[in-house]
Amino acid sequence: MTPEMLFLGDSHTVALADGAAMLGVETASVWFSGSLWHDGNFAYGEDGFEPVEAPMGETLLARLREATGKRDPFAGDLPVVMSFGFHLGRLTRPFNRHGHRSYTEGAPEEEGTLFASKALTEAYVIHHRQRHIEAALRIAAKAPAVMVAPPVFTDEPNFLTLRDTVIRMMRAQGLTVFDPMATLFGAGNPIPPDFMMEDGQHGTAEYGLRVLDALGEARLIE
Amino acid sequence: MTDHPYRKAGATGYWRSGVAEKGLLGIEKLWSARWPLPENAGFITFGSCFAQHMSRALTFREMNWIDAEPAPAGSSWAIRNSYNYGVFSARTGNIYTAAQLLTWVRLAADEMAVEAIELWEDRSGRIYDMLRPQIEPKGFSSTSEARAALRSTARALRRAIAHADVLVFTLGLTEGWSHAQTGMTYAICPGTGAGQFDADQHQFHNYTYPEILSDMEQALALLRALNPDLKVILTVSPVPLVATASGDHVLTATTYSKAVLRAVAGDLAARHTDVDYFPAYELIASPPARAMFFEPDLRGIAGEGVQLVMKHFFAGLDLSGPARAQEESADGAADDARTAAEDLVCEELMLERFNDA
Repeated sequence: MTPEMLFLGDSHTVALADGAAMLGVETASVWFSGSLWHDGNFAYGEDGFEPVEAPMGETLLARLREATGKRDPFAGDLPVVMSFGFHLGRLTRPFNRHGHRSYTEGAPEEEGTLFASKALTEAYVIHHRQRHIEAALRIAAKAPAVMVAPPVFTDEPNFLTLRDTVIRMMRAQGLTVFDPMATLFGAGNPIPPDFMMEDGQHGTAEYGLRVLDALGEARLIE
Repeated sequence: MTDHPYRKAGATGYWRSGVAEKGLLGIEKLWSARWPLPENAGFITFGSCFAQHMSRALTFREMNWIDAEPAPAGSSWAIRNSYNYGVFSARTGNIYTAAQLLTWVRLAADEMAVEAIELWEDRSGRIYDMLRPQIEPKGFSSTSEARAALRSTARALRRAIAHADVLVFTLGLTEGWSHAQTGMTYAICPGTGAGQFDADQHQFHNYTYPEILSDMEQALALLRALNPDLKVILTVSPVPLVATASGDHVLTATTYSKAVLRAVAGDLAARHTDVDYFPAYELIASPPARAMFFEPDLRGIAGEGVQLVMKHFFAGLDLSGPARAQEESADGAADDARTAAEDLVCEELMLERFNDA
């Protein structure tokens, strides 16, 4: 079957594709692990976006190329829903390691906590995620594309700040980013348990459905 | 032949045998630390720009250089460099004068609140603090962020002092600037790197021997209160002044500055059993060196000079004391384990769909 909507990202993309499927949309996805995304196992070249040394992603792209008959299946009229460039566990854990707290107004300052300025936090995010942002922008330049921020399962301050910083950096560079947490559940709130998979790390298909509905209502996808 | 005290001076007590006949590179036993230190002694370093060589040398030798305010793990070299991490044992920036050191130690000891530190705002609304206006490349986003940063560094400085065996402090300047009303000291002249110069508010001060000695004595007392066992090694930077606001020729101003600082450092070492003086200044700037280690601008110190200084420093240390208890440091092992666990969950989810497709 010819796909009607494409998905590209890490494991958080699964819920989004499942949600689209619940709407009866024919989907095709390329996804691979957040760790490989974090490590930069991708490239954007003459044939568009390609996973590199990411076997699952490479296989899925090959299938998609065959299904669409295109070397760059992400270029064209098909909407592309992206969810990558976050991989917040891989950002937050090292950031937290020495006890840093990214500055937010009014946050408690405890003995042993190390200050990290907003500017430093942004520089940190840009260092680790600029390639991802650029890949997303190149995809968005050739297709109707939207980046969907991953769901939140924690109230850990640096996780939330780094997530917000990634969103802000993406938007500052012109990427359309949809934040389901802010739109559907209220900024600062974690995902409700009903929309959380048992693994505690991913949203459910119902969560994906809510997101896809919201994307449609906001006319971010057609 | 009658006896006299110089008979006991030994070869190193005479200029001819100790210096002239040896030449700079042959000088031996120039310095021996006055106390044994633990084999894994914890060093903290602060001071003027020359002090940065000390932290680099300790790190290069994989000695226990305490960094109480490291960059977030995963930070690039560019980030660490532009945000001034890993230069000194806390992010104080260069500490040029004894007055600045005393201010920092008062902050660390909670004897001064960070609200007493003047902040400057540039035209774009970015905020800089007067103790270390260049600590972040673009300043801070707000006064509250700037103060939070100061509090964090003050806490880190306190921890550094509390956990260290040795503080190596490099005295840099006698000349400084202070606020006419509050007396607060500035790291640099307002208007030269941050802020705006106001002749009514900003006063030049060429700190005198008694003033520097007093500030250092007060700082030492606070250091001892925070860590009664802390040893202090003082050095004097051999780097000449960039410029002087004294009205004197910069050559005489430099000589005055270094002479006063050298006298203070020597007198403190003579007065206190927990203070020592290490002759970095002599190795670079005294006659036997023949200025050979100065760069063409006669101000920068060549790498070979730094190496010679460090060679004498490490040769003079006595690390024969019993090892101090090792503190646990955060490594990535726990993070790696959590990442692996998360990856497994993510892979299983995607694999399910992959196999279904």
